[in-house]
Amino acid sequence: MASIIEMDEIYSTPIIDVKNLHKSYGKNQVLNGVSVSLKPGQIIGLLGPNGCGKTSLIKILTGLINDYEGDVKVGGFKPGVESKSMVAYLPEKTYLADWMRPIDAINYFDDFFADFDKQKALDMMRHFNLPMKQKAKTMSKGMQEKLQLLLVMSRSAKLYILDEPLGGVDPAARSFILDTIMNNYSKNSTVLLSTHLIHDVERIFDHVLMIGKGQVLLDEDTSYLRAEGKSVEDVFKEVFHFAWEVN
Amino acid sequence: MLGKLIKNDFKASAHSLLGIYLIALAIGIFTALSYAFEGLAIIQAIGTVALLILSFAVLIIPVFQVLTYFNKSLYSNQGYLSYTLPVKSRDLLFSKAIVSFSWITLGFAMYVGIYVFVIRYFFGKMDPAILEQLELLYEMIDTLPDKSVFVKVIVVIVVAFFFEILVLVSQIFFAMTLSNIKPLNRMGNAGGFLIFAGLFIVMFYIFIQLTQYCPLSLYITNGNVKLVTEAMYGTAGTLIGLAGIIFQFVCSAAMFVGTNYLMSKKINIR
Repeated sequence: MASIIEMDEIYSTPIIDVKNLHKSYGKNQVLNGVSVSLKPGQIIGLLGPNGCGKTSLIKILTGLINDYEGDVKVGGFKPGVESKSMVAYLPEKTYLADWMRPIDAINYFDDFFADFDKQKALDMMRHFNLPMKQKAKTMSKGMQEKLQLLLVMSRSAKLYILDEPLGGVDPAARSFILDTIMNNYSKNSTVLLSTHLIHDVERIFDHVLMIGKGQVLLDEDTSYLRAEGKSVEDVFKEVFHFAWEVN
Repeated sequence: MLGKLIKNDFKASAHSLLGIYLIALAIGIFTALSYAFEGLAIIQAIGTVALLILSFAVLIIPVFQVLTYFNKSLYSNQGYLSYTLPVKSRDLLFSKAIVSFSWITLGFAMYVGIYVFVIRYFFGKMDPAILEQLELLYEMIDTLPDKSVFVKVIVVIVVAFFFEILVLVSQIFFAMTLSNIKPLNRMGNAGGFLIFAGLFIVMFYIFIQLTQYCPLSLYITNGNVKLVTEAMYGTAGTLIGLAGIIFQFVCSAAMFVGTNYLMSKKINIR
């Protein structure tokens, strides 16, 4: 009985709760009063054209940007130690030090993240054909991206934040990345996946959040859109066509 | 988590620093062995020159390495990993301070060790009077009526020396962090170097002035070391000015607090 109450509490607390969020870089306002509350246990598409504020929102959620205005909570906590321990973040950039080999990176994650499954990471490393002792600086960009993906997906995180994981890769690699995400994320957790390539991924989304010109333009379950006979891509074109017209 | 941060920071910085220390150590041992045999004057001379060159390397390279490692691990792409670890920014800072302090201290220790070795063996061999003067110094220390004063003076010098390294580390961290905040981040890494150079020169100037002219000093006598309200200037070495050190302590603490504040509230990882 207690576990049912606990589960209720877990699923009633928004995994991401943002109120009236503003962020600017000098005179350039990238987020302008963003408010959004996202339920846990879904795969959420964070969609919008390049430069619309997706990455800034993600950086605020992950604690990489701290000078913003508004109220931000991840899993009930302001971005900080508690929220970072429950978020597995895959940035657009490669963040491993030049000297790091896959085995060093795996040990590093094992040191800091209590939810990291080292054995799973080692298995994935073999499956991805990554050499255990090759330094990151001598790896191709694709190998580095594979390594970062396996590090993130070897965690049993409450929230996976994946920033443009499909950007700049060929269709085969895109399919490989998507399969890796879908086969390895913890089923009770939430995935926030940012992309501007909608066609390949729209089938996996439970919910979509469209951001343009620093504002939330659409925040809707995909089941609702599908019931209306629309694809996410169609809605994206509608929303951003409108956004570009009015801006 | 702090222990894990320190372990990983040592591991990361060792990749670029350990080599230079090991080379210095190997050449030191090789040269020391060469002094044990006669007729190896050329090897002794080459080894000694190499050691003298390395003495500058072990003094300067760790400082530059600390500066670049701090900047790279927190404010380049690696910052995406460092700042998303479930640790407080003060732990990140504390870990890097301990590791940086250790490497720079080791560098200074090797620098001093190399010079003691070169004076003792190379210059001592060239001019036996140097060895005689060294013996005289040892005897003078031996005949002191109260050796505890000598120990106290050594402790003060060592503490002041460690403290200066800590001040240097705080200046580096503060300058590099400040240079990553708008609008100073437009200058890039050069901005960090400029801020560091400016801080170093200004603080050193104030330190010298306060040390010499502020009436707060340690008075060293044959029997004791005590606090006096006299300025060090013009006392022919019997007083050690304290105000400069206190100034640096306050500034260093303020820079660590300021760096932590900027890291947790103002930094935007690009």
